[in-house]
Amino acid sequence: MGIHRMPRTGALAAATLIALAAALPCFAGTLEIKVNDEGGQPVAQVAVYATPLAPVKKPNAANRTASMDQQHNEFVPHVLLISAGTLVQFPNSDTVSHHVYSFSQAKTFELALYKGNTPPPLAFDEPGVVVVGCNIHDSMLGYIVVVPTEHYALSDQRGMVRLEGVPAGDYTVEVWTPRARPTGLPAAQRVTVTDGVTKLDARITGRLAPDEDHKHGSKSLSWDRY
Amino acid sequence: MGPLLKPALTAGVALALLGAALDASAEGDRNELFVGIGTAYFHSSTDYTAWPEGGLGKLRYADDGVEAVRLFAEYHGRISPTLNARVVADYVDDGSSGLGIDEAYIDWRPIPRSANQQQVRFGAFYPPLSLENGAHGWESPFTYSYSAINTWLGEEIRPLGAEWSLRRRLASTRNTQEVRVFASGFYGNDPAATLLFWRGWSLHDRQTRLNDRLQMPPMPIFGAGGAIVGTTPQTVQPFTETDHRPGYYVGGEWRYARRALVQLARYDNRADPWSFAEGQWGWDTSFDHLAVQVALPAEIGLMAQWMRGETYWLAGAPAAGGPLSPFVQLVEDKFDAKYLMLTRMWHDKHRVSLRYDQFLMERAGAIPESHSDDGHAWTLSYRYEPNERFSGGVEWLEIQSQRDLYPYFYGAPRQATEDQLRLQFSLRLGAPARR
Repeated sequence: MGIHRMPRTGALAAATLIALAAALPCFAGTLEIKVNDEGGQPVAQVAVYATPLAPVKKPNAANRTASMDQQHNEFVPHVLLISAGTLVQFPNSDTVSHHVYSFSQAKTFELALYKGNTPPPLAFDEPGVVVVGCNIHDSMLGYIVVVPTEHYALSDQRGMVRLEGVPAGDYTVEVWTPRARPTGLPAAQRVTVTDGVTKLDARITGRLAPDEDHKHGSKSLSWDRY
Repeated sequence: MGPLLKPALTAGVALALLGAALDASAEGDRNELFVGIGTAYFHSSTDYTAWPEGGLGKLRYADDGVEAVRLFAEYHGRISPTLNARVVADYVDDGSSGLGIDEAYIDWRPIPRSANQQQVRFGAFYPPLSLENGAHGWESPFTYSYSAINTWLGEEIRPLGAEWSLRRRLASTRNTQEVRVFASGFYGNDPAATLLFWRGWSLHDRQTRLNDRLQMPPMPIFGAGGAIVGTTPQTVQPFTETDHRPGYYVGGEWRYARRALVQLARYDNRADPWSFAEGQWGWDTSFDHLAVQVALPAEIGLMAQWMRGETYWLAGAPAAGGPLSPFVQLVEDKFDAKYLMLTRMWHDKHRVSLRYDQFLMERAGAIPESHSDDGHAWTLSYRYEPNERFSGGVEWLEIQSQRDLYPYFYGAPRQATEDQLRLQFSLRLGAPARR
């Protein structure tokens, strides 16, 4: 009997080991990235994203939607961070018409002059930075940052980004903000995510353009003709 | 109360209903209509007749009372996604009153395929010079009375032609900077500076409509015993074509995000100062123009414009084919005006603006009837805009000027002070004016 039991126990143990081994890459960790400027001051609203080095199944973002509104002749949010494949809507909350367009390589599009009715959403499939403008109101400017990963977030007021549930593995972490010169952005950092919290610093060098510039500027003055 | 206030109010109600109807339809994608109605109470102190009535006064209204300042409608009609027709029409009840068209043009903005953005306009429009008049109907969100410079642009500058502009956002500056150039060739606008020369500078909010005939102030050389009796145009139509020579304006602009703007421009109507057509003389008028706008700390906005130019006219040029007058006199006047304005908004509702204007028109050695005009003005304005429909405000305007014409005509001192207190109520329909 004993002899008969032995292989069964062994099979169970083997199965457990296999299951554990299979489950191992599924251990998920947390990535904490702190974005600072040269002077060590936190920088908010910076797009931070971690892209897995190993090829993974393309994130299924087809049913994800995001929105970039137009309020008081501004794009809201000013920086929209999405994963590739996300559908983006461009409602217009203003009482005047806008004509939204982009000539960026990652997504060239135009939404002809509209006001009341929101046009159907557009899919942003290609990773890259899409600069959005209005053909009527020259000073309107928005950015859509399309990233090839599901692990992304904008830094908060403390310059912090916390990406939770990141499967263990190797990643490159990149940051982007319209306020920095391209040369001032830190190079992509390679990081290995394990169980637990992995901390990382990202330092942006060079002078940053003032935060409010394109969002508001001075509301006391007019920057567009109707 | 103006005698035409009643029809003005009737027209206002009609426009308001039209605006409300369009408002309600909410399908404003193809066409947009913006309607503005302004009524104000004026309390004025001046020794001179208001200029729209043919006086030398610098104020638009010289008497106390309620006036229907302006009713305007601005229509945007979409021909194609990038081609739009824009028309601004208004009703005023002073000067050559009634309905009139301020601007009418086709605006083409092809979708940019690169960082270069182009725009072409055809028709009758304002050159893009004023920093103040950025709201619908070419009105100002800052003060009710415009600066001397922009008042004059509203009175006598309206090219009839084409304008091309190119804007480029500089990616190398993280899109914070952009440059823009514009150029226009136009006909019409040959009598520009006629009113400025005879009446001098002014500060108000009456825009000359394309079909308007502006009253001339008293003119000594045209009077009995004057030099050019019988050839007098009694009214100015500043947008007339007198010589079939096109004029132009060109300019360049640099912007730093929504924080700073500098613009340099030159305008020249290239009018033949000998020309005379449709009862109007050509005045060869040109000016250089500098505009600066800066967002200062503490949300204070600063605006400044400076204009320097000259105008040539041959008084006594053969009018309507008549003989050359023996009294040919060359008018060779220089004009110069500038203003500085500080403005601030509180809670998106309250706006206070303070502006200082300086203006000059002079002709060296012109005696005895020099048309020189040398003065300055202060404008202090408070506006309350509780919502996008209604606004109310109060404005204090004081204009000080020195003119040789005051003693000449009225035996009055060379120096004149004109004051005006204004209480305004405005209504916006369709879509509101931008702040």
